[in-house]
Amino acid sequence: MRWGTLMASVLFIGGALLAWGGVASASSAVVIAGCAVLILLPFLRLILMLMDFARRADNPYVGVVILVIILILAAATTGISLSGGRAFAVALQASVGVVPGGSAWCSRPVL
Amino acid sequence: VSPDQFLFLLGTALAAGALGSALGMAGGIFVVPVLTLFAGTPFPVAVAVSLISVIASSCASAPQFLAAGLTNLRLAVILEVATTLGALAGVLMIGIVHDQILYGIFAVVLLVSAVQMMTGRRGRAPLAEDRIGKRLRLDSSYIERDGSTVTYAVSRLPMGLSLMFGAGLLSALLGIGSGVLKIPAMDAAMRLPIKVSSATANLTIGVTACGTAAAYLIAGNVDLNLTIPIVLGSVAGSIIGARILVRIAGPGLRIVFTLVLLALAVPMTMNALGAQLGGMP
Repeated sequence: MRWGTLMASVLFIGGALLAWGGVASASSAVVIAGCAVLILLPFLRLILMLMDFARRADNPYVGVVILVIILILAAATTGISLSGGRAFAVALQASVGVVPGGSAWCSRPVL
Repeated sequence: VSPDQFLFLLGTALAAGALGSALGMAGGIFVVPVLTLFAGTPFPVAVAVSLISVIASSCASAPQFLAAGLTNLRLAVILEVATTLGALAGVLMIGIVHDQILYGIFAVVLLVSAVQMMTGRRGRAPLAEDRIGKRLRLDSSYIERDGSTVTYAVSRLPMGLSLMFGAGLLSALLGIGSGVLKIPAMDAAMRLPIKVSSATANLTIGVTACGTAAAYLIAGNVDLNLTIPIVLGSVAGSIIGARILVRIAGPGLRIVFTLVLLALAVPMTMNALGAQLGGMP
């Protein structure tokens, strides 16, 4: 978790430097990777806990962890389907401020 | 985002992360009002950015709590069933609940948090051994700095789970760590020692937020330009708060924190009433 947070922070700093260097698309890709690393860290922690509980044959807790993983995936897929199934590329476009009608500092929400 | 705006957001997130970490709350409760009121960010985008920052804060401070043996991993994963279920319900409500209502709920959360901040967190006497807690092997112990071992039992799990469901719901709708419900759930309902309560709640924040945050990221709601300074500030603030500010956290810091919460509650309430405040600082 410590290394993952560090890796995400490095990606965010890299994204900022690329943005200031005028390479907007590369910056967006790097920052999205940083966000993805952060989002995956708690999920990976659950996977590690699942493996640990399974190794100890602690079946009730194996079931609980699997239930949590299912609920997380359900929340993610529900949110994505409610957003109209927009492609990942939209995130890239929106993030660089090309969606018209956005507010002062950012782009229009789509969810 | 101009350099001035970047520094403003970085500084704000750093202060929010540091204060929140020092006082046992996530910084999201500051990030969303700052983004909506000062950066003119639409509410869903502010929530999306805040969720990423809340995960970052949780991940930054969790290793210290885990290393200190304060986190109750079994209890965390049990509570995460309720928080992720709440988050799923929150995701289903996104788009149905009007922004004005969300501003109103946020204002209430700010006011309740201010009251909690002023009254402080008190260790409460443990209850009699709980059958559910014992059956799920949730009772545990940790070692204090002076070397003494503190054992504790987990009581009234159903009440705690109910409050944690609400915490997950608020997290998905408002982009916050939901300390406003987690504190009463763990301190008052389940009667956990404050250190265990803070550490375990911190670990659940990331899992609660990650599903919703993934949906927001893929849907394109996470404004990357705003995310960079907010996340970097939150991570740095969490580390500073956990290591330095905890030592100096006293009544003065609590009063400042309370005043900031109350000050943010005023414009959020006005927006709930239709004022549409927000724009460049």
